[in-house]
Amino acid sequence: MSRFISTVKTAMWLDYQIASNWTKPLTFFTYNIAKPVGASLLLLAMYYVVTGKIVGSMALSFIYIGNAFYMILGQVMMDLGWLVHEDREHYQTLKYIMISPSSYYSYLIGRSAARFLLSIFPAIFLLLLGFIIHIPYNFNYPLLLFTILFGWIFMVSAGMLLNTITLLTARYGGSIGETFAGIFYLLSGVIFPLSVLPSFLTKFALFLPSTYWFSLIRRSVLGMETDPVLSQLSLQSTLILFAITTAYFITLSLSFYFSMDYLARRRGALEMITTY
Amino acid sequence: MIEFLRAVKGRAYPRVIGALREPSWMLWDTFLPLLSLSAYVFVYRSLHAPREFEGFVILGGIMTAYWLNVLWGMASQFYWEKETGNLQYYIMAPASLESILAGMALGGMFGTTTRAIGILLLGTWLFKVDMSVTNPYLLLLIFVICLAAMYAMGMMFSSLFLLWGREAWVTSSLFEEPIYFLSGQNFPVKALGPYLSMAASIIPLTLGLDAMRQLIFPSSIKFALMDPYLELIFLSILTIVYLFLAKVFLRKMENIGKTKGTILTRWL
Repeated sequence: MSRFISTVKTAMWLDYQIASNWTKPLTFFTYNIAKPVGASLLLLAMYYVVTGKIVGSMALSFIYIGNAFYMILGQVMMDLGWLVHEDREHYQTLKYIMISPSSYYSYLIGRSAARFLLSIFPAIFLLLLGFIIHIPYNFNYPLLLFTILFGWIFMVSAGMLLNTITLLTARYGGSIGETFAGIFYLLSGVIFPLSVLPSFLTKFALFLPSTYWFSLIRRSVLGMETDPVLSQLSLQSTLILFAITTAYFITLSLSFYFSMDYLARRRGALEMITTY
Repeated sequence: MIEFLRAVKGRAYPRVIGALREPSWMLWDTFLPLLSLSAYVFVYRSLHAPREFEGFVILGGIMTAYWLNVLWGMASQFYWEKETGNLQYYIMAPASLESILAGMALGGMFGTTTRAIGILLLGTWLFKVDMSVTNPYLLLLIFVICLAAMYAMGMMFSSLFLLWGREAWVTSSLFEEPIYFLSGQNFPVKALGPYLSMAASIIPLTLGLDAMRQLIFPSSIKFALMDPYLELIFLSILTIVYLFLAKVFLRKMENIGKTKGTILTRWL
């Protein structure tokens, strides 16, 4: 257990260094916030051109809060999509990590934890900006804390799934990450209600843990769920469904990890350099 | 001049071949932008926006594919070349860096166009977007000049990568979402107000999108920033300015990089 914790801590430190040591901390944190703010402003502008106003409706709150927290999920997915590729081909350190006494799985957990923590800052910043546009906050802090913590578990499992697939692929790292992020963006009721989707996609969305995660986020930040589909579920049901869907993501990621790790070793893919 | 053109052809060649070599990449490159495009279309649907706004999203998605190619396939390409050890060969070769970059631009445009056509066809089919082009010749001219200005801007930024390491990579990354907002990727840029939208006009994408929106969706003229002919003139000026600045910056940054010894350093 102590080795696991030590590996996770070291991996988190390493990830922070890779992400940030190209500049001073203040510049890095400004950069870290600028992208999510840009994405939120884009949506606010879209809302403005249709409605002619920029404050005070539940539709705006739905879009704004969903997008602010999607920044965490999207960033973790996109960054993790590149992680194996970066270690293997760019820095060429994957083989050394693999032969170290630490487990690669715990290393990946540490890397994803650092990305997750770094992504929380822009979300906090966006929540603060939300006061300017009169988002009707009604925080349920225990629920928010629970949602964020368990959200991390779901994101780690989804990230592991990505990473283990990229152990065997050449250039698809980023694409797979973006695809995962894009699917969650489109099908989880992040910036529009699920009822707007075609019915077969709405049904599919109900199998994704991210759908329930965003519903829990809205319930804990706005104090209510305005999505017509998800508001039919009680808080307890949403929590249970989130736990169940997260559990199968964890099972899926673990089974993928062991099988892909085995295949990558057999095929000698851990040293693969494709120079893409 | 012949050497210049040969270098352009030589650098464009791998990009053209590369764009067609792996069909699965084409699938990813078309499918991926459609995911976020669809999300933005559904946002407009949930707000009961006029149908032409969904067309704005598709048009924005097509032009964003080129913008991403400018950022990652032009501006930051020298970063990858440095990391993979090719940059020294470019510098040693009896060809100018401008010709290498021009080759990258042409090859990149080809590859991105194959993806953009896919996005256009699938996007209009999936969301039943109704486009009625009022002046196809002007549209084509604006599209071409807009691409020229964007890729000239990419050439200018690429000079920074001769000097920087990850800072430049991060800069490219920073030029995604904030630029989508400033250029009015999915909405009429006029909504940003006169000062901000005029300031954002130094980004060729802003003027190009505004002009093309007017020519493809005539009902959107009321949201227009300025007349398309005027935007064509400004885009032409931007192309010339960015090409000139690219030439100046490339020489300057190459010299600074050589003097400081950062031009070939990796993993920084």
